[in-house]
Amino acid sequence: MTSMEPVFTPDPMIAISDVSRAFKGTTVLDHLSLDIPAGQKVALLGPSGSGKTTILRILMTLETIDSGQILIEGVPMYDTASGTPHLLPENRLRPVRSRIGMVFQHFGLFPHLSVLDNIAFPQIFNGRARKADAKARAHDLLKTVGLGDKAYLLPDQLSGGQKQRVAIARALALQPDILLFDEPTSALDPQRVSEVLDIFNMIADTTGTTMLLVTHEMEFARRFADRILFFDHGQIVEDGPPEIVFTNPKDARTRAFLGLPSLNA
Amino acid sequence: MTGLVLSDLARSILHGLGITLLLTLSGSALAFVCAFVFGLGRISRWRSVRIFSIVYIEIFRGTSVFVQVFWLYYALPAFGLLLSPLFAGILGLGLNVGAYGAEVVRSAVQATGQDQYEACYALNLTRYQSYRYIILPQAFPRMLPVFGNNMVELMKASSIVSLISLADITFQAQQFRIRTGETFLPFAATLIVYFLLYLGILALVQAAMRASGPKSMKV
Amino acid sequence: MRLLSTKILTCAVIIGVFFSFTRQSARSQTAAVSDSPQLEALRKRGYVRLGLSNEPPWTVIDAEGRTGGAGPDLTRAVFQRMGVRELAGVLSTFGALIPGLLARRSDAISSGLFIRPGRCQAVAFSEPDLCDREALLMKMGDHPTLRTYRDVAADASVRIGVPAGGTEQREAQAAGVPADRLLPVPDGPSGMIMLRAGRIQVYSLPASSAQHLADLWQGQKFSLVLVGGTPVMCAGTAFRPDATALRNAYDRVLATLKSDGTYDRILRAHGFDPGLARGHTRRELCGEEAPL
Repeated sequence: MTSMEPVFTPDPMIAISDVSRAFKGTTVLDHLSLDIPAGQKVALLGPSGSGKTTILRILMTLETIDSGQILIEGVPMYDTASGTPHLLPENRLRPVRSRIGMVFQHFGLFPHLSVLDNIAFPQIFNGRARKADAKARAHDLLKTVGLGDKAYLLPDQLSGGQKQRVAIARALALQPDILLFDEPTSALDPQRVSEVLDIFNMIADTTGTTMLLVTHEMEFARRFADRILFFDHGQIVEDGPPEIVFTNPKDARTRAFLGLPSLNA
Repeated sequence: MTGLVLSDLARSILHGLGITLLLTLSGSALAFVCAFVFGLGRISRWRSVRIFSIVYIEIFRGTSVFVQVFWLYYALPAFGLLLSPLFAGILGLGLNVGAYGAEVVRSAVQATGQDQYEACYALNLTRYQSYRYIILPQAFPRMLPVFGNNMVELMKASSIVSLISLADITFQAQQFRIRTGETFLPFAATLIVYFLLYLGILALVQAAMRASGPKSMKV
Repeated sequence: MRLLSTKILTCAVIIGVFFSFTRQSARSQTAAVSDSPQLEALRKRGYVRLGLSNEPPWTVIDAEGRTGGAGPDLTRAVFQRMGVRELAGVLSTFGALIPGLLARRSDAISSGLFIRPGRCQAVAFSEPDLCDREALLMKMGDHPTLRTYRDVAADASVRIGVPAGGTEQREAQAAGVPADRLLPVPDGPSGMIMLRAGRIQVYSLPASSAQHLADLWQGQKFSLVLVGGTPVMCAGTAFRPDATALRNAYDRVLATLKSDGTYDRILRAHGFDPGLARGHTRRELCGEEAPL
């Protein structure tokens, strides 16, 4: 992209181009290409082992790719000069990675720090805020996720749903442009799921953050996303708005997964 | 048993206690530093640092502390390095126990869950920040009980310094025996003193455990 | 004699081999100087560091750390005559005496180190100063016929205690005492306790040490006999191999003290027989090979 490019076709927030990844000979991502524009809410669905969690981990640079390239708003993550992609050196990767936040399936909260410090410390470490400001911001975020009274507890004193909200607040504190959620509903009681949905919608409405989530919950995906990606064997087999993907998918595997009758039947 | 003999014994034991305490405390301090430097060096990103740490750990774990102290005191002078007895004793004990401590640090750090490392990474923490504020504070309480055991071992091993002209408790008791022929009293006294030192170390470790636990318990 | 634990011995051998490499060059350097530069250095410093291990009555260290006993008292007298006024004791275990000397932790050893051929290759001995015979210590009335190591070998009911790694061990072995009846003893008081408890029936050690222990345990009855058929053992003051000039100066003064009565007075005060040493020389005690 050059400066001559017209301003009304901006770079997508995430551009995954021809990415492959294999673990011990098993292909997990197979020549995957995908653009996600800024502000989109994307749900990744598909059977276990279809590669959807791997996408999140690759975006977070917790995993690397075997071939292809990933661009975050036009900025590459990999040096592909040698033919095979190498993750950029840490000093060049940091600014890119700092635009991305992730909420892990098991949250990864720091058990030795209070809820407040879990949220405040990363801001301080990243040079985003001084101590007092970071703590004030952490208090605000805790109020936003409905945990204003839990600031001084340790993570292990919270329920699963509360831990998740702390993890969300911790990621939000760094004001990422992209938020990744790995199985956000797996640790929740069914009646708590709509609370999480409310928080997600609130984040989308107030910050415009691009959000990707991996889930098994069809209903949750349908209510949350404005784009559904259906994965199978490392490829996207279905891509569209929920009202289309869930009611009239084209791919036979998607139909089977959703329990819909085969099209040729 | 005359009062004169008893006061002789008390003086001997007290003199020896000073040396034993000095060796135990200074040796443990050195061992503590070595444990962290080489325990973390063992899992360093740099190959040369890893190799250097492994060589140190294996040499000092694989040979007896007795031989190590002997070399420091009697062999180094041939290379022009004349360490004082006290320094040689502290160095020998500290380096030896530090090698064991390094393995404690390494295993405690590696026992910290993968999710913690990934969370640090996802939150864009530097390697230093991750270890200093997240990984080590969690691993440290796991190390403490073993560090306590190591410190007890160091205290007990400190009796070898009579080899290098340091008059610790055991040596003083032995001298008292040779002077007086009395055996029960000096050994009973050293037994009690060593046990009291052991209790002291135990209390120290407990205090450290309390101090290193999670601090934000205000509900 | 005495108190050589196997570990210390192993270390000492390693260090000894190590130093033997550096020794030759050091020796040739000092040989060119006619007077002893070491003695000059000691005079200037004002004191000599003496390697000691607590072995009454050879060496006696009191509760305040003051040094006495036949060896240090004699050595002090010699050095004072040489113009070195003070004596600083470097106290260690017996086995660490020679390594300490070689590592320049002390300037000389005066703690009843017997002159033996092997040791003559490691250190430079003075002429013999303290001599003694081997003795057998036993409970009064026990085994009254035991006189020699051969007698011990012949009586299967007798176990003998000897200073670990000492001369007595080799003598007893040579006389045919089997290993299972030959027990190493770490120190005097331990030997007495073993004797009293019946772990050993005989405790063999230098006569002056035996007498000292018997005096210390005066409440109980022990009998002491000199071992028949064993040679007189003589100790000397040991110097570093490169300090033969200092050693020679020491020998000259020692000879003077032997002739003016000072030597006899010091030895008698500690219960040693001053006549014994006069019958022996370093050359003879060091054996075939030329002593340092």
